[in-house]
Amino acid sequence: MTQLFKPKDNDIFRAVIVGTFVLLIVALMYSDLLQGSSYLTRKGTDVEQPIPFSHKHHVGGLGIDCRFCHTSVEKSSYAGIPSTEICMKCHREIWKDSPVLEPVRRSFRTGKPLVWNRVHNLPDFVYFNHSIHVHKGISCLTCHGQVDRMSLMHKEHTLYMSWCLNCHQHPGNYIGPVNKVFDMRSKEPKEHSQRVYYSPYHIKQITNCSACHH
Amino acid sequence: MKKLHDLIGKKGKAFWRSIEELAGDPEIQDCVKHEFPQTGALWDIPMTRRSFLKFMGAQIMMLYLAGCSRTLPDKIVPYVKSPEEIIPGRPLFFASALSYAGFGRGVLVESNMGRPTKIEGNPQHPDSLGFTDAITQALLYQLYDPDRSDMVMEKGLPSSWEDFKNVLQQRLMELKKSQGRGLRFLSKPIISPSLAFARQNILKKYPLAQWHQYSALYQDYSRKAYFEIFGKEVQPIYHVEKADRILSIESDFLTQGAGAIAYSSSFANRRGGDKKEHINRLYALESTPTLTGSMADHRLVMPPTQLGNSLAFLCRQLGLGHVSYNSNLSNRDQDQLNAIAQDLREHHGRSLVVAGSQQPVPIQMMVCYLNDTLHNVGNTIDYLPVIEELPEDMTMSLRQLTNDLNKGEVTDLIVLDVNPVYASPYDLHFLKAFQKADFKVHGGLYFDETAQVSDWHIPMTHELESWGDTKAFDGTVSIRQPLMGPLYNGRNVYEISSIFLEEEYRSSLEAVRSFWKRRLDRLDFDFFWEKTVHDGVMEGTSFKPINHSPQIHYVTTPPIDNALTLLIRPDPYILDGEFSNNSLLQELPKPLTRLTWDNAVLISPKTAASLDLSNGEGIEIAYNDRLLEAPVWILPGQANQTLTIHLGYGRSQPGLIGNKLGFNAYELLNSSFPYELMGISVRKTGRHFSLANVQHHSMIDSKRHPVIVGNLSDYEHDPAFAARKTDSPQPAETLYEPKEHLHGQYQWGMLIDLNRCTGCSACTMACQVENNIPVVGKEQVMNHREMHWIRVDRYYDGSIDHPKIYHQPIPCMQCENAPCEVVCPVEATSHSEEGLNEMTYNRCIGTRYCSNNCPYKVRRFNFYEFAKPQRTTALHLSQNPDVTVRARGVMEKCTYCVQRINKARIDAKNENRTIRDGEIVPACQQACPAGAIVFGNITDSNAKVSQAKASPLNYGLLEELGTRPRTTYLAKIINPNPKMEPDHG
Repeated sequence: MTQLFKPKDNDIFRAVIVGTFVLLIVALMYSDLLQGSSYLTRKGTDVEQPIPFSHKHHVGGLGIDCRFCHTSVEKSSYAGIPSTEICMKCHREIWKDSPVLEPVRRSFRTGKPLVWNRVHNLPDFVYFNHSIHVHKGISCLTCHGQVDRMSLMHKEHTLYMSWCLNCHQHPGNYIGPVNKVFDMRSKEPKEHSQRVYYSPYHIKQITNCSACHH
Repeated sequence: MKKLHDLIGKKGKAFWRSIEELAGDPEIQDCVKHEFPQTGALWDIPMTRRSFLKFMGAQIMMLYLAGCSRTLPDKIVPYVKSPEEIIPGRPLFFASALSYAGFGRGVLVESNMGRPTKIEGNPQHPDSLGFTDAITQALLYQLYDPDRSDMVMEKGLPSSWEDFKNVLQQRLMELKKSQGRGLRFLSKPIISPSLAFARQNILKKYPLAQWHQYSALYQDYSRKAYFEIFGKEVQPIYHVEKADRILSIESDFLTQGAGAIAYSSSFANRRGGDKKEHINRLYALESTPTLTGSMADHRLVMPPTQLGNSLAFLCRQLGLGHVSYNSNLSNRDQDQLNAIAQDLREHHGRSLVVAGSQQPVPIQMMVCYLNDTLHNVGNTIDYLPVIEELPEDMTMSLRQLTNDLNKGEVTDLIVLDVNPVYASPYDLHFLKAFQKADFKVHGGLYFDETAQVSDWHIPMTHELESWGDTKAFDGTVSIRQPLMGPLYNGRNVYEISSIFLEEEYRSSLEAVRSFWKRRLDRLDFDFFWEKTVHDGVMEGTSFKPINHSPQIHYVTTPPIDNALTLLIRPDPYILDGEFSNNSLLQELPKPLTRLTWDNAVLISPKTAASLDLSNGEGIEIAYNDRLLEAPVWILPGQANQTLTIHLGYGRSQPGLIGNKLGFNAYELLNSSFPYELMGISVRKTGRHFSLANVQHHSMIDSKRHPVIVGNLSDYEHDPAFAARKTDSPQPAETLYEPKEHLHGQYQWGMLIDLNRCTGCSACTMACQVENNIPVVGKEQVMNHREMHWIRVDRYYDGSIDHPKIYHQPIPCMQCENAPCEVVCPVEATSHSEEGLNEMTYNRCIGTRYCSNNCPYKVRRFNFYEFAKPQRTTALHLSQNPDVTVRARGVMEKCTYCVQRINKARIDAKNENRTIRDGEIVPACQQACPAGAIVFGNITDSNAKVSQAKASPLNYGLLEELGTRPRTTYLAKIINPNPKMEPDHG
C-alpha cells in the first residue's frame, strides 16, 4: 500500500492552516468595514425625495432659520417635519407656478399629506430627544453636518451607538454656545472644545443605558 | 398533601399563600425553588440530535446573513395643516368621562397625536379625584378591541347603514299610524340626561311605545329598602373620612361600585402613614370575603342567614325594638356583637354602617335604621336623589317586557347596548320570548348573543368615540368628550334616535350641546360649555342631601338555616359579562382567589372537606330542576355551607378572547332571588377542570414574615417593632464599600404603605397599559409566564377557616446590590448612578440568569412573540410610544417608569431647574386610589418619599439578604377592639 501523504503535503497543510486564519481575519475585518460602510449605513448617500427640496438653497442661500420649519425642535423629542402649510406660506407667492412644486400645491389642495423619505432613522428601542441637545449647546451641525451645503439631504454620520457615545463620554469636545446652536455659519464647535460650558450648562456625562433605552 | 380535614381548625405557619402551602405540599416547595417548575416538560417537539444540530447551524448562518441586510428607508408623513395644539412627541390630555356599572367616572385621556394611549383619573371629578381602578385603565383595550363589530348585519349577513335606515323608516311609518303600539326599547339604566331627553322625545312621538331598562348589576334591593323607608328613590353617599367606626355588611365599598375610589382614598387617609391618632376601626360581617373585608380589623365570617340574625341582634342591642330576630346566636357571637354594638354606640355620629348592594331588603333596612339611630345621617352618611334619570325596578322592567313579548304585544324591539339573551335570569326565558318579536334590532359594541338572534345588528360607538354626558355617584354631570372618530364604523345613540324622531342628525356634539343649551338656558352658555368640557365636571350639579325622617317598619329576618346556600355576584373585573372580551381584565388575577381567565365556585375549606373536594374538581349544583356543572375553588375565609359563583363567564359569542371561558352563572340566576339561592344541592362529578391560578407563581422564599403586622397597642408601646421583626443588618454592617457609583444628583426610591393598600390591582393594570406589557393567555399563565411587572401578593395568616388576609404589591425592588446584575453575561441589566436597576432590552440575549437570581421574582420573560397581536391589529395604536415593545426572548421588568423620569429630567434641564418632588409619578402611583405608593428622590429630605421612609414602620422585603432594596414597605398596623377576641384563634 502506497503512502497516502507525501512529505511535501506537510507544507500544503501548513499553508491551509495559516491561510484559514488569514481568511478568517480578513473576513472579520471586511465585515467590520461593511458595518461602517456607507453602503449599509447610507452615510453620505443622498436620499431621493418626491420634491427635490434643497437645504442648500433654503438654509445656505436664503438663510432661513432651522426652527422656521422644524418647529418643535426646542420643545419636544421630535424636531418636526414641516407641514404642507409651512411650505405654502412662502410658495403661495414665490415660484407659485413652478411644476417642481406641484406636489406641494396638490397636497395643499387635496389635504393629502406629502410623503418624504426618511434620512435619519433610529431603531425603535432608542429614544433620542432633540430639545435637550439644543438646550445644552449641541449645534445642529454636530449631528446633521453642513446642512446649508447639502442640495439633497444625506446622513452625515452613521448614527451608531459608538458615535453617540463619542460625545456622551466627552461632551466637552462638542458643546458650543447655546445661542449659536442654529447658526450654520458658526465655526465647528470642536475648535473651541474644552470644558468652558461644563458648569454654566450643567453638563454631565450621561452614559447609563436607560438614558436612551427604555 | 395532607388531607384537608386535618387542617381544619388548626393554626398553621404564619403567612401562607394557599392551602397547599399550609399543608406542606412538596409541589409547592418546587414552586418556591424553581420559578418555572414545569418548564422541563414543555419541549414537546420530536427532534433528533442530528437535526437539532443541523437547525442550529442553519440558524447561525441565517443570523449572519440577516446582519448584512440593508434596511429600506422609512417614510415620513407630516401634517398638511398642523393642528395648533399638537407638538409631535408631546401627549395631550383631554377630560372625558366613562360610565360602566351604572355610574359615571371623570377621566383624563392621554392622546399621542390623536391616539388615546392611557386613561388617568380626573382630579376635579368627585368619583375619580385623579385616580382610577383596574377596569377604567383596561377600557382602552375595549376601544381598540379588534373583535368589535364593524358592520351592519342583517340576519347574520353584512348589510349597510342605508339599508337599515330604509327598513327602519318603513317600519316607523306603520308604527306612527298605531301611535307606536308594539314598539319597545331596552337599554341599560339611563344616567345620561341627554339620552333621557331623547327617550322622552321618542315616547312623545310614539305614545304607546315603552322603554325598558335592565342591567344585571342593578341595585334593586337597596333601592327598594330606601323607598320603603323614605317613600322616595334615594341612594346613600358616605363620608368615610369622618367615620371613626365602620361596620361593613359584606360590602366592598372600598373597591367596587360608585364612589369606591373616593371612599378608598378617604379610608386610606385615616389608616396610612405612621401617625395613628386618627386611625379608624373597620368591622366586617361577611359570608363571602371581599377586599373591604380583608382590610377589616375584625372580620366575622358567617353564612347569610346568620348574618341577618347577627345584624338584627346588633340592632336590638342598639335599641331598635322594631327589628326582630328569631334564632339563638352562640354566646361567643353574642359577646363579639355586643362589643361591636358598644363601640358603635360610643362613637355615635362618627360611625358608619354600610351594606353591600346584593344584600337582601331586611338587611338594607336594618342598616338604614342603624345609621339613623347612631345619628350618622348628616355626619357620615347622606341620602341623595338617585342618579338614574328614570329609576325603576329593573327586574320588574325586564319581566314585564318578557311577558308582553310572550303575549305577542311587542312587534318591534330595539335593544341598545345590552345583551339580555346572555345576561338575564334563566326563569324569564328571555331568548324564547325575544324570538316572538317581528323586528328585532340590536345595537352594541360586539356581535354578541343577542345580536346573533336579532334581525338587524348595528355596531355602536365606544364611549371614547362620540360625545355624550354622564353623572357621578353624587350627581355631578360630566360631558363626555370623544378622543377619536369611530374606529369600527360605529353609530352613536343620538344618531339612532334621530331616525325615530325623523330629525336630521347633525352630530353627537350638536345633540349633546343643544340639549344642555336648552336645559341650562344661560347667557354665558358658550363660555360655560367650554369650561365644563375642559374641566370634565359641570359646576353646581352635585346633588343636595335629602332630609327625610325614616318611617318605622317592622323588620324580621329569616331564621338561621343550615341549608347549603349559593351566592351569585358579578365578577369583580368582568362584571356581568360586559368585559368578557377584554384580555387585560381576564388576565388580571382576581382579588383573593388569584384566579385568571376563569370563574369558579368558591367554597370554604370545611365544606370542601365534607364533600371531599379539592381545587378544580367539578361539582354539579342543583336548584329545583336547574343544573350547573362548575369547578370549585377552596377559599379560606368563605363561610361554611355557603358557595359563591360569579357572573360574566360561559359566554358563547363574546369574541376571540372570551370564548369558552368558565361557566355561565346566569343558568342559576333567578329573577325572584337573584343573589341568594337557599337549599341547593351539590354533587361531585369527578371531572377535573384546569384553572389558571397565580397564587403559586413567583413565590418569595422568605424565612421571615414578608408582611409585617402589629396591633395599634403594640405599636404605641414599641414604635420600632417593625425593624426588630425584620432583624435585618443595619446599612453600616457591610464588608464592602458603600456603592461608590451611586453619585447621581437624584436617588430614586419608592415606598408602599401596607396600611393603605386594599389589594384592588389598579396598579397592576395601570403598569400594564403604561408599559406595553402583553397578555399571554390562559395556557401560558398556567406555565407561570404571566408578564405583570407589579403583582399584588395575597397572604393569609392564622387558621384555615378564618384567616387574616393581607395584600402586598411587589414591583422591582431596584436593589442597590442587585443580584440580577452580577449574573448577566452581556450586561443587559446594569445600575444607573441614580440607583435604577436598568434593563436594556436590545442587549438582552435571554439567558434568564437574572430572573433565576432575583429573590423577589419580579423579572418577566417573553417566551413567545406575545406582543405580536398588538402589532398586527388596531391594538398597536394603543401602545405607549415612549416604551419599547419587547420581542421574543427578552427579559423585562419594572423600571420605575424610567420613561417618565427621563421626560421630567429633560423638562427640568431645559428649564434650568431641578426636578420637583412629585413631578415624577410612576403609573402605579398615579392610579392607586388609596395613595399607597409614593415615589421620589430619597436624598431630598423634604421629599414625601423620604419623610415616609423615615417612619419607624419602614422595612425592606428580604432585607436580610443584603440587597438594599430601594422599594420599601410600611408595616401594617391594625386597630382591633380590645374588648373582642382577636380574629383568628
